[in-house]
Amino acid sequence: MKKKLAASFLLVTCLCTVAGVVVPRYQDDPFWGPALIVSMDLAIGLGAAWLVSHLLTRKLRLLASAATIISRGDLTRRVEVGGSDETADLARSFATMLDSLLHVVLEVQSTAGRIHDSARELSESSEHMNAATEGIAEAAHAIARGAEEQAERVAGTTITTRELRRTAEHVASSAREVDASAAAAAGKAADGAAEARRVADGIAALSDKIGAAATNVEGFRGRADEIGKIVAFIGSVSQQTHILAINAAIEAARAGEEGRGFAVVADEIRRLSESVCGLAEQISTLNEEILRGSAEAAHDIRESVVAADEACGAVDSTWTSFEQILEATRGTARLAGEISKQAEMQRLAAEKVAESLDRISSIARQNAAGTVEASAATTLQNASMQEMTASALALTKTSDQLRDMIAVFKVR
Amino acid sequence: MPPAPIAAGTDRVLVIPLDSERYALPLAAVSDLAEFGPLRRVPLAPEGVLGLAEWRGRIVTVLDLARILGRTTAAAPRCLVRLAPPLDHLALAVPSAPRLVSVAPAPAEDSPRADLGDAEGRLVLLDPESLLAAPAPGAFQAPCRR
Repeated sequence: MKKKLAASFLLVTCLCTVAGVVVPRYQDDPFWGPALIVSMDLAIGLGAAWLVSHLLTRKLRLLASAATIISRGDLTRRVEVGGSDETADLARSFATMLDSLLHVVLEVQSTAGRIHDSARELSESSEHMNAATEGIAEAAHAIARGAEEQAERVAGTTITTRELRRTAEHVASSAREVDASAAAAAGKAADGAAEARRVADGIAALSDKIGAAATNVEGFRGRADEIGKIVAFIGSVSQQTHILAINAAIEAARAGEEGRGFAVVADEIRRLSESVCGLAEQISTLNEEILRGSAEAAHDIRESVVAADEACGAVDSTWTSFEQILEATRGTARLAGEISKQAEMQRLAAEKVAESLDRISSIARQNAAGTVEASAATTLQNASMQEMTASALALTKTSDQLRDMIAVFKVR
Repeated sequence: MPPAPIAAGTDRVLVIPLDSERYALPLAAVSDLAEFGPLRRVPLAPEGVLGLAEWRGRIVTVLDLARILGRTTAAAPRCLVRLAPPLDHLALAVPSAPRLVSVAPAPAEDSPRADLGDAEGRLVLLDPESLLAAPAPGAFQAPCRR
C-alpha cells in the first residue's frame, strides 16, 4: 500500500513537473500559463487520487460485501483476497475471525440444544419430582394423622391399662376377701359335716326303730289274720247253728203242740246264733278294718323306713357334700391366694405397661410432631419443586429462544 | 202239699233276700236247710238246675231260685233249702241263710206270689208248687244240642 501510494505520488509529481515544463513552452501568457498548469496539476491529482482510491478500496469493498452477508447470518461465506498488503492481512484476519465466529456459533448451537434437552429433561424430572413430592406430602399428612391417631390410641390404651391396674388391685382385694370367706366357709362346712354326721346317726337310729315298729305291725297283721280266721270259723259255726235252729223250728212246727217248747228253745238258739253271727260279722268287719289299717300302717311304716333310709342317704350325701364343700373351699382359698398373688403380679405388670405406654405415647406425640414438621418441609419442598419446575420451563423457553436466535446463523 | 194258711201274727216264713227283693217261703213248705256243698253237675241240664247233691243219704236236685224267679244275682249260693214233701227231692239254692220271721196277711191262693210284710218291710210270698209250675221263661228249658 505504501509502495503504491509512493509510486502514485511520484507519478503525479512527475506529471505535474512535466505539465509545468511543457505548458510554459506553449502558453507564455502570465495568467493563462500558470492557470493551465494548475488546472492540469489539479486534473492529474484528482485522476491520480481516483485511481489510487479505486485500487485501494476494491479489496475493502469485497470485505464489506462479505461482512454484509455474514452480518445477515451466513457464516459459510468465504473471503479470499490475494496479495500481501494490509487489505489482504485484513481479509485473512476477517476470515480467521469468521472461522472463530462459525466455531463459536456451532458451539453455541450445540450447547443450546443440549441446554434445551437438559431443560426439558429437568422440567420433566421436576414434574415427576413434583408429583412424587406431592405424594410424599400426602403420605406425610397421612403419617401425621396416623401418628396423631396412634398417640390418641396409645393414650386411650394407657387409660385402659390404668383401669386394668385398678381392676387388678380390686381383684387382688376381692381375692383376699374370698380367701377370708373361704376360710370361714371351710369352718362352717366342717361344722355342717359334723352336724350332718350326727343327723345321719340319729336318722339311722330312727330308721331302726321304725323298722322294729314295722316288724311289730307285721306281727299285728299276722295276729289279725288269725283273728279273722277265728271269726270266720265262728261265723261258720253260727251259720250252721242258725241253720240247725231253723231246722229245729221246722221240726217243732211239724210236731205241733208237742213241739212248742222245742220251738221256743230253737228260736232262742236261732236268735243266739243270729246274735253270734252278727257279732262275728262285726268282729270280722272290725278285723278287716284292723287289717286294712295295719296294712296301711305297715305300708306307711315301710314308706317311712324307705324315707328314713332316703333321708339317711340324703344326709350321707349332705355329709359327703359338706366334705366336698370343705375340700372345695380349701381349694378355693388356695386358688384365691394364688389369684391374689397373680393379681398383684398383674397389677405390677399393668403399671409397667402403663409406664411403657406413657413412653410410647410421648414418642408417638414426638413422632406426630416430627411428621407434621416433615409434612411442612415436604410442602415447602413441593413449593420449591414447583418453582424449580417453573424455572426449568423458563430455561426451556430461554433455550428455545437461544436456538431460534442461533438459527439465524447459516453454518452449513 | 199246699202251704199252710198263715194266720196274722202267728204264721212264720223263711225270708230269702235276692238283690233288692225279699222273698218269703212258708215254713210248712220247707223240709230243712243245709249249707251249700259240692254239687254234681248234670250235662245238658236246664239253666235253672244247678246239679245234684247228697242230702243225708238221699239225692236231691238243686235248683237256682234266682234263675227260676227270673232274677240275675251275682251272689254265689251259700245255703240250700230243701222243700217239704212231695217236693222233698228238690232243694233251692239261695245266696244266704234264710231268716225265720213272723208275718201278718194271708196270700192270694191263685198266685205263686203274694205280698206280705214284716217289721222290715214288704215281702213276696212264694208257693213252691205254683213257682215250679210257672217258672221264669227259659229257667227249665234244655239247652240246644250241637
